[in-house]
Amino acid sequence: MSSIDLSIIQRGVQGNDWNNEKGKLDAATLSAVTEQRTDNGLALNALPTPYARFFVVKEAYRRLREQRQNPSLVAGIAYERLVSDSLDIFEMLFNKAYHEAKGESIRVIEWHREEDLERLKKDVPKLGNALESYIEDVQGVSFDTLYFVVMEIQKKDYLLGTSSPLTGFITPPDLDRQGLDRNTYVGERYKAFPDLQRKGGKKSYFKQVCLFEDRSPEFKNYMYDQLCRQKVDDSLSWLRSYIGSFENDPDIQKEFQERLQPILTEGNDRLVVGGMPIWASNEVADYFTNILIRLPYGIANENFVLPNYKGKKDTQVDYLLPLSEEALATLDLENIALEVNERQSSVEVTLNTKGKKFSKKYSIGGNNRLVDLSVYQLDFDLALFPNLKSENHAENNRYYKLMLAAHQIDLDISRFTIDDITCDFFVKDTEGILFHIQEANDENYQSGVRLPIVRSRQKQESEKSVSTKYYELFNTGFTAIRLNFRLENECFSGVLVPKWKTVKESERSYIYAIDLGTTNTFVSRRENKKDKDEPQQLCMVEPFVSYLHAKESNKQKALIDCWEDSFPNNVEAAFRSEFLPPFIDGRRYRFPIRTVICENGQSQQGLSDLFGEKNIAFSYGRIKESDGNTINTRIKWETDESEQELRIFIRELLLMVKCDVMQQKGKVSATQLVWFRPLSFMHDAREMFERLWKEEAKQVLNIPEQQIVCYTESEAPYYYFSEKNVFRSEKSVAVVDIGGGSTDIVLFEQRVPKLANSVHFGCDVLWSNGFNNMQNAKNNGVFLFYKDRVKFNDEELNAIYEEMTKPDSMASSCDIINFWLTNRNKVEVEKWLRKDFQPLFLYHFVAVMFYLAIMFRSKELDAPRSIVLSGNGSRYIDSCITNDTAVLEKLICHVFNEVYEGDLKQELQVVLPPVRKESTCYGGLFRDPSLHAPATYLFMGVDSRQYDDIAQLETAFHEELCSKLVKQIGRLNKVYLEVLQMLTRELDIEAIYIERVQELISGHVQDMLDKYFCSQVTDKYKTNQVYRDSLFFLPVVDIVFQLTQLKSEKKKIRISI
Amino acid sequence: MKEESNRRVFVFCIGGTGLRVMKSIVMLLAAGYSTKGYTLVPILIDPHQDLTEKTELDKLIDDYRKIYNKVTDHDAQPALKGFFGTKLQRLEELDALQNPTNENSMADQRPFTEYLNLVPVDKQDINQFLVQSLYSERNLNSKLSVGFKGNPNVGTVVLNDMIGSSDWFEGVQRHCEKNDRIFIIGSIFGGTGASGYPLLEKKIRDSIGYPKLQKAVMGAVVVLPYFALKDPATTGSDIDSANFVTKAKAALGYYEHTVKSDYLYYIGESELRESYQNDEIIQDNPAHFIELVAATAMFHFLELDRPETTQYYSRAIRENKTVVDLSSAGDSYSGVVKALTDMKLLTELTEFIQGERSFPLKKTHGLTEDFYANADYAQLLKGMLDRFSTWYKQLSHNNRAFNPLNMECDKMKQPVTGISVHATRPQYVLEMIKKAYNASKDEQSLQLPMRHLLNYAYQAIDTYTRILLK
Repeated sequence: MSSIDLSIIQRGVQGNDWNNEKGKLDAATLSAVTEQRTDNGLALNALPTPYARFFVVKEAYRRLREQRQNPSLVAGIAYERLVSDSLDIFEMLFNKAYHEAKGESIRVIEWHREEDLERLKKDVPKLGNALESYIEDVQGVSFDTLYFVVMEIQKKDYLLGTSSPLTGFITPPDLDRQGLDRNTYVGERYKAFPDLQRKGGKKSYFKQVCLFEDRSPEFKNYMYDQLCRQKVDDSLSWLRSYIGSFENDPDIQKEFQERLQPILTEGNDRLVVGGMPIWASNEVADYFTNILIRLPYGIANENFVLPNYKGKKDTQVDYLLPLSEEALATLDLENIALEVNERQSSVEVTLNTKGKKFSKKYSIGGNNRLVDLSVYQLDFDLALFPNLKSENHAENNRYYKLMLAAHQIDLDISRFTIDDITCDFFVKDTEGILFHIQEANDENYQSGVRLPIVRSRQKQESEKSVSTKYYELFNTGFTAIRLNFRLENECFSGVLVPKWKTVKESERSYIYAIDLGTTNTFVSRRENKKDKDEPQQLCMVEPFVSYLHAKESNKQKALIDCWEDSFPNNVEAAFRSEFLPPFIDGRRYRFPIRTVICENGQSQQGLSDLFGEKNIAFSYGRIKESDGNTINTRIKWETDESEQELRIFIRELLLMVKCDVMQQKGKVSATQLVWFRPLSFMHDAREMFERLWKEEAKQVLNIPEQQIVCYTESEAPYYYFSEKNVFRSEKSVAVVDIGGGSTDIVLFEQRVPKLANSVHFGCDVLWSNGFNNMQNAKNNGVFLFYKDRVKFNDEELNAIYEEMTKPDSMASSCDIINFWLTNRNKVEVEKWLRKDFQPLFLYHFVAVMFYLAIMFRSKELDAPRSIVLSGNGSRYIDSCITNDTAVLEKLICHVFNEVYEGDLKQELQVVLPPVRKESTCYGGLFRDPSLHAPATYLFMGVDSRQYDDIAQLETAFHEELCSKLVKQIGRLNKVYLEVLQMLTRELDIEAIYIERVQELISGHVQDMLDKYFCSQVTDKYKTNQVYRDSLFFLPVVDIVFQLTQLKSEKKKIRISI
Repeated sequence: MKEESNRRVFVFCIGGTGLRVMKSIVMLLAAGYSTKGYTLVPILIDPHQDLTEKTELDKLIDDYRKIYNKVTDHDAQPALKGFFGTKLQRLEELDALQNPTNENSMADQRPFTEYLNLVPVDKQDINQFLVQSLYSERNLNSKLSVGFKGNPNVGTVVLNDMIGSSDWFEGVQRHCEKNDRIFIIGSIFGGTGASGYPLLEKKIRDSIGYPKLQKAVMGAVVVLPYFALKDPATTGSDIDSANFVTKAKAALGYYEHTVKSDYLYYIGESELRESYQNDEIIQDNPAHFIELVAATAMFHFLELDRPETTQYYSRAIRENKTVVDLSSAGDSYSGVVKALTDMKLLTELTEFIQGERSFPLKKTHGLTEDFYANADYAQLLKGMLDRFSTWYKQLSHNNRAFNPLNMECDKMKQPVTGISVHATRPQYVLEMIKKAYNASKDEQSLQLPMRHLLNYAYQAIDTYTRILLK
C-alpha cells in the first residue's frame, strides 16, 4: 500500500511528519477534488463571510461548469437551481419590456455603501460593522454599489435578485426551494409570490430549473456576446466560463445583432455588474396599454402629439395616447404614426412602425377598456410652462412647471380629490434612451421632478372651487407625460407627448429694464445693438404656455382670446389666478402690471413655491381670484417678510424674460438686466434687492452679476428724454419722479447727474389717510365721497369692488382708488376727480414744486431750465389739474419766483411726457453704465445743513428747525393760495372751494410738526440712524389728508348754511 | 529550539472540531507531550452553550490544571518532565477582567434576528433588501444557543461582534507578550470554526495598539472534512455533509486570499469514512485520529522559528489502512505513540502499585492508601486516566481508527503493536523505586505524593518506551 495524505486531496506528501513541500491548497489544486452531488439547498451555507451567498452562487456556476466538462461530476439539483435562478434574473431583465407590458413592474434599486451601509451601522451596528469589515474580502472584489431587482405584486415589493460582482446576480436565499419540492419557497415572505411565466410561457421563473442550454436563442446569444465577446471583470470568471462552455451550442451565432437598450436603475444610472452592462431586449411586446382615455374636449394639436383620425374627427373629444412604457422607449414619439378609428361601440388604435402595423381595439366594458372621462363628470385641464426648447443644451431645460386643474361636478358621487390625478415624466437622452424622471425631493439631486404641490382643493360647499396641483421639473427636459387617474377605485393611464417649440439661438442679445414699483411693475426691452430703436414694453406674439385644451377656432378673435375663452368648464378661474397667461399679448395682458401677488390663503411664511403657492396676479382687478387664494398688494420692501414674495415676483418676471429672449431667438446667456431702486431705499432693502436679482438671474437666465445693473428710478427718465432730444437746453434739467410712495428729484447739469433727493411724498398720499397706521383705514375723503357712486359696467369688477369694500376687507382706501384708476375705462373717476378735487391735487403739486425750489435755493443752485415730470404718480397732474404745459410753466415760475424772490432769470420748460412711468424703464435701457449715480442731498426743508443722526436732528428740531419749518409751510400755503387764485380761471376752480381750502390748510402746523416728528421720526428710528427723508412733508401729508375732506366738508357746510 | 520560560501560546479552539482537537492536545500533554516550555492558554470559543463536549473539555482542562498544581505545589516546584509537564493557564487567571468567552452574545438564547436587533431598520429601508439578500428567514430565526448550525455567514457576524466587543479578547491583547505565540484550531466545513478562524486571524493582525499580539508568530490548523453526517433529509438538519467537500473547497479558495498566519496546517480525509448522527444539539462525536494529528500540529508549530512567508504544512500516513498503527502511520508518529503508550502504562502501573503492600514509596513518598483514597487521586488523577482510556478507545474504534497500542497486553508486556518493548511490570516497578531513591534530596519527602507518583512512574516507563522514538 502506498502512503496517503491526510487531506481532501492526494498530493503525494512525502514522509509522514508535518511537511511543507507541497505548499498551499489553492484553487488550481482543489479543482481535482471530487465533490458529491447536492440536492439540499438548505445546506448551502458555506463561507465565513456575511457575503457567503455570493460565493455559494459562484460555486454553483463552477460546479455546473465542471459538470458540463465531465458529466459524471453531477452537481445536483441545489446547484442547478442556484444557476437557473441567477440566469432567471438576467433573463427577466432582458425581457423587462415583456414583463412590464404584462403589468409585472421590475425596478432596479441602488444600494450605496457610503450612504446605506453607514445608516445600517447606526441602525444595526452588529450587522453593519460585520458587513463593513468583510466588504473588502469578496475575493478582492470590493463593491460600493449593489443593485436590487424588485418586483411589485399587489402592492408588495418582492426582492428577486441582487447584483453580485462574482456572478452578475444572486437570488435571495428565501427564494430557494424546499428540498426536492420545487413549488415551495423556503422563505415565508415568498409564500404568496405567484408563478411568473418566462417569455414564451413554457416554464415559470424560479420554480422550474432552466439551465442555459434550455433558454431562448435570443437570450443565449445576448449572454454569450456580453460575457465571451465583450470585456467584463475577471471576477465574473466562473459565470463567463459556464456561458463560454456553450460555444458550440447550435443557437449561438457568430454575431449578435439584436438591438438592446440599457437597464436603468431608479437613480437613472445604467446597470453594470462586474463590468458587464445589463441590457434589455428592444423587442417590444406590446406598444399599447389596455386603457384608452377619452377626454370630453379636443386636445391642442399645436401643443401635443395627436393621432390621425380615420374619417371625420369629432372635435368635442380626443384621446390620451394609449402607449406602454415600452413603446415610449422605442418609438420616435414626436413623429409617431398613430391612427384612431372611431366606431360605434369601439375605438381602434393603430400604430405603424418599422413597416409593421400594430393595433388594439378598445371598448367600454371590454378587456381593452375605453374610459370616457365625461362619465365621471370631471372637468380637467393642464398647462405647461414654458413650451420652448432651445437647441443650445447649455441654456436649456432648466425649469418646467405643469399645472393640473380639476373640478368634479358632483363630489358626492365619487369623492374625487386632486390626489387622484398624478403625472409621471419621461425623458429621452441624446442617445434616445428613455429615463423615467424620478421625484427629487431634496437638494442633493441634480435634476428631477419635485414632489407635486397641491395648491387648491375643491370644496364641496363651493360650486366654483377647483383643485389644482403643480409639478416642477428642474435641470431636465422631458419627452412624455403619463397621466394617471384614479376614479372610483380604478386606475387609468394615458400619455401626452408635448410638442416643443424648438428655438435656434442667434447672436442677438437683449437688454431688459424692469421697474418693480410699489404699485406697478414695468418691463421694457431693447435689442443690444448700435442702432437704437424706440423701446417698448414687453409684448409677445406667441404663447409661452401650452394648454391641453384646444383653442377656439375663430379667425375673428385674437389668438389670446381664442386660448382663454376655451378652457373646459369650471377650471378657467384657477388658470387665470394661479398661472401665467398664455403670453403677454400687449392688450389683454400688458405691462405695466400691478405689483401684486396671488397666494394660497394657507401658505406659510417662508414657504413659497412659484405657482405651487404664489404667483404674480396677472388678472388682479379683472377677475376675482379663485377659491382659496388671496391677493397681497403690499410687498413691504423694507422688511425681510417680503423677501419670499419679491423673489417669487422677480422669478416669474425673469422666466417670462427668458421665454421672450428665446422667442426672439436671442442668446439667453448674453441677456442684460437693468433694475431700479428709489433714492430713498434703505441700505438693508437695497442689499436684499441686489441679492434677489443676482440670485434669480443666475438661477433663471444663468447670467453673471456683471450683466445686472441697478440705477435710481429718478435719474433714468432723463436718459430716455435726452435720447429723444426733448430738452430745449440740457444745461440744468430737474427730473421730478412722482411715484406711488415717494417723489424723487434728480438734477442733471450738462447731461451729468449732480444731485438727488427723495421724499416719502408720492401720489398715494392723495388716496391715503394721513399718518393713520391702520392698514385698511378708509377715512380718505376722496374714497368716502365716491365709494357709493362707483359702479362698473362689468359684473366681475363689481364683484371684486364689493369684496374690497366689505367692512372686514383688508383693502385700504388707497388700494380701492387705485382699483378705480386701473379700470378708468370702466368708470369715469378721473373726470370726477378733476371736477371735485382740483385744489387737492394742486396742493400736492405746488408742495412738490415749492420743495424743489427751496431745495435748489438752499444749495445756491440756479433754477432748472427744464423740469421733467415723470413717474406714474404724476399722471394726476395731467388728468386732475391740467395737461397744458404753459399753465404748468406759469404755475412753477410763480413758485420759483416766490422762492427766488423774483430772481428767475431764464425761461423754464416743463416736460410732461406722454410715456410716464415707462420712461424710467426706457431711460434705464439707454443709460451709460459708466456714469456715476448722483450724490444724495438730504434736505429737511429749511437750509443745507446736514444732520449726522436722529439725535442731532432732534436737538436742532427743538432749537430752531421746527419754527423755521412752520414758517416754510406758511410760505408754501401762501404760494399755494396765490396759485389757486391765479389759476382759478384757467382751471375752473369753484370760488367756494378756495375759502374752504384756506380753512383746511391753516391748521396748527406747529402742533402737527411736533406730533409727527415724534411718531414718524423719533419713535421709528434709533438715535444713531440717519434720517433720509424730509421733515418738510410731515405737516404737508396731514394737510393733504385734510384737503381730501374738502368735498364732504363742503356738503356739510352747504347743509349748515 | 531552545526552551524559554514564561512564554505562552494562546490556543484558540473554535467550534466542535476545535474543542475536540483541544481535547487531544490535553491528552497528549497529560501523557507527557512537550510544548517546549510554552505555557498553554486554551481559549474555547463555541456559542453552543449546552454542548456536553465543551463542558467536559472545560472540566478536563480544569482537572489537568488541578493535577498540575498538585504536582508543582502551585508552581512552587518545577514542572515535571513527562506526565502533566506543561502548564495550562486559563485566560481569566491572567487578570480578573475577562468574562467567559461564551458569555453574553456567545450564550445568546435569542434568534439571530433578535440578536442583531433589526427593528430600527424601517420596512421601506433599502437595507431590508440587503439583509434578505444575505440571510434566509431560517438563518434569521435560528437560535444562537445551539451554534451556527453550519452557517458561517451567521457565525461570522456574531463572532465579529463577540470578539470586537469582548473583554476577554482585550485580555489577550493586553497579556500577549514578546515571544508569545498564537495558535488557532477550527474546521472550515462547519459553522463556528469556519467563521471564527479567519475572523480571529483578522482581529489579531488588526490589533492596532497591541504590537506584541499583532506581530506574534501565529499558526493555525484548518481541519478539512474527515467525517460525514447522516442524511439531513432524515433528520431535518440544515447540515448536509454532502457539501462538506464543496464547502471546504470554497473556503480554501476564499482563504487563499485571506490567510494571515505564519503557519497553516491542513488536515483532513479524502474519503469520509464515518457518518455521525446529524444532530447539532448533541454533537457527541467520538474522538478521531484526524483530531489527534491536528493536535500534533500545535506541538510542531511550537518548534519552528518565524518564517518569512506563510508556510503551509500537510501530513500523510504511510499506509491507507482503516485501522492505523505505528507501522501504517509511519515513524513520525512514534512520539504520539510513545505518549499514548506511556499513559496506558501509567494507568496500569498505578493500578498495580496501589495494591502492592510492600511498595516502598508508600512510606518514603506518601503513596499510601490514604493517598489513593483521597480525592486528589481517586477523582482527579484516576478520573483523568479513565478519561484517557475512554478517549483512546474512541480513537481506536473510529473510522479511520488509530490503534497503535496492544490492548491485549498482559502485565504491561509489549504494549505497542508491532514494536517490542522489552519490559515487564516488575521491571517498571523496580525502575520506579530506583528512580525515586536516586533522586535529589529535595525530591525525597512525604509531601506532594502525586508529584512523586507521576515523576518516578514517567521516568520508569520512559526508560523502556523511549525505544519507540528511535
